[in-house]
Amino acid sequence: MNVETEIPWPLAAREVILKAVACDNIDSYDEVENGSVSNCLGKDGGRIIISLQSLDSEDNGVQGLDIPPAKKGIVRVKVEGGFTIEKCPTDHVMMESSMQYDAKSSDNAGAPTSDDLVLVTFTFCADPQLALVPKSLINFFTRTAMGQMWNMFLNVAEEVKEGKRPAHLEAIEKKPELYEWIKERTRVMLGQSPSSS
Amino acid sequence: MEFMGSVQNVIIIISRHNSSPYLFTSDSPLRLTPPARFAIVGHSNLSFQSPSCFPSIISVSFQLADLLLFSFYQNTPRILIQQPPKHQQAERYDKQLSSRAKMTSAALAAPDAGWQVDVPQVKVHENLALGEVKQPHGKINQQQQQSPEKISEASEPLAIDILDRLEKSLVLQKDEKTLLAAHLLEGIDEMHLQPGHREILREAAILKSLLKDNSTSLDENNEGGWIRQGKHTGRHNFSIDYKLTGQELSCRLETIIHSDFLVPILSVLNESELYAAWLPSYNVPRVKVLRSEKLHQIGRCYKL
Repeated sequence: MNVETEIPWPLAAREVILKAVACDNIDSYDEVENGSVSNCLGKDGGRIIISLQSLDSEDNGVQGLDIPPAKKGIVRVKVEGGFTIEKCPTDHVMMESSMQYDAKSSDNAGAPTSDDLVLVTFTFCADPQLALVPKSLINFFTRTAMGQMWNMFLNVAEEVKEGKRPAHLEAIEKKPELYEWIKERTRVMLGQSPSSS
Repeated sequence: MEFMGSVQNVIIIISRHNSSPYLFTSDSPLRLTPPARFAIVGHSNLSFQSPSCFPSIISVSFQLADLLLFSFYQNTPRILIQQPPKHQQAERYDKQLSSRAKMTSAALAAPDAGWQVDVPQVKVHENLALGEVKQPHGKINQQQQQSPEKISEASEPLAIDILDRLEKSLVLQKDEKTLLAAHLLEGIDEMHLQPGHREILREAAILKSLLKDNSTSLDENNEGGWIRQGKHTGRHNFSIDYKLTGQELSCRLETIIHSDFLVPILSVLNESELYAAWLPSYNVPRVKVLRSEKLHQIGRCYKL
């Protein structure tokens, strides 16, 4: 993905080329530790992981990629991070408030069960390629932009779920190999379907 | 200019995992490389059609050739299958080769010596004399058949296990099970790994690092040194934490959702061409997304 943003003068516009790779780490497997074999969900198992890595022209040639240098006047930033998606631990600090909201919500009335809850964690680390990161920019980003973008992200997803985003719905219909696979693997992750894929 | 030729006692070693096959003549020393998995040995009427300088083999056909499939472990060939000369089988192998055979660096040796190929070497490996697999008249005598087996007898169980793990790891990787694939590759000597395996290990290292970042505790121990920015409750419950390390800004968001909300969330995330339609813009300070596009997609879950 190539995302280009405009930011305040005198800073140059920023661009990031991201590689996104998903990993299905749900299945259990035999782990040999201290000479004994134990079946476990993997040291890091029971999750869907999506890694995000920024790329630049020095990554050319990796898997046949051809990344052009950044255009004049645009600075390419470095970002790494990603998502982990897992069954929500019962002792998670937000579990109680999520269950309370579910109980009030008409959509989920009758089925506010912790077995259906999924914890999504997103982290990222960005080097904005600035000699000095202005405090105001950090404050704006952490106090305002991140929360708003995340909330908007969830609102848009809510609209997709409610059928109000035709472009996204069309994309979901066109890619059953991806989205049906996600549904199936999520059921396995939550223990609602046998572990097979 | 195209080359049409017929040589005897040619060995073609074909890598199954996205690397080039190697071609050797019976009269040249046989240098094996770890990526090689299968070899086909033909003794007569083995013809090639190739452009000049041989950057690639366009087609290889076998006629009246004895075929041997070899597996290699630590530069030692082990006979897996010996095929009698049957025309139909030859055709089948021909089709496989036509679709995948490519050579990178080739040079024609002395006319009587047939073909010789410069093999790109990552490491220096021992040379094996071709006599171990030579078959003067298309018949493989008992001693020749047994020789490679004897060489690898001691390591046979390990070789089978390694071959199995190498192959399974690639299958798992195609099914997006990168960490499980990397788990299978643990303990295998690097000399046996091909680019596909190295890519698995590289991706696995990134995924493990991400898991570590996303799994550090946010409770009172605060292992990751995160600073709580805020917590949002209501329709969507989420928390925001951040930290500044040097010039790098890190953020961590956690949200709890219902499982039926996952596909909509991932569709919003995945459909990068639609980002500009919903990502917020700001006038003060002036920040907005100008462009967002998908450049490349490999498989189901690999996107650039």
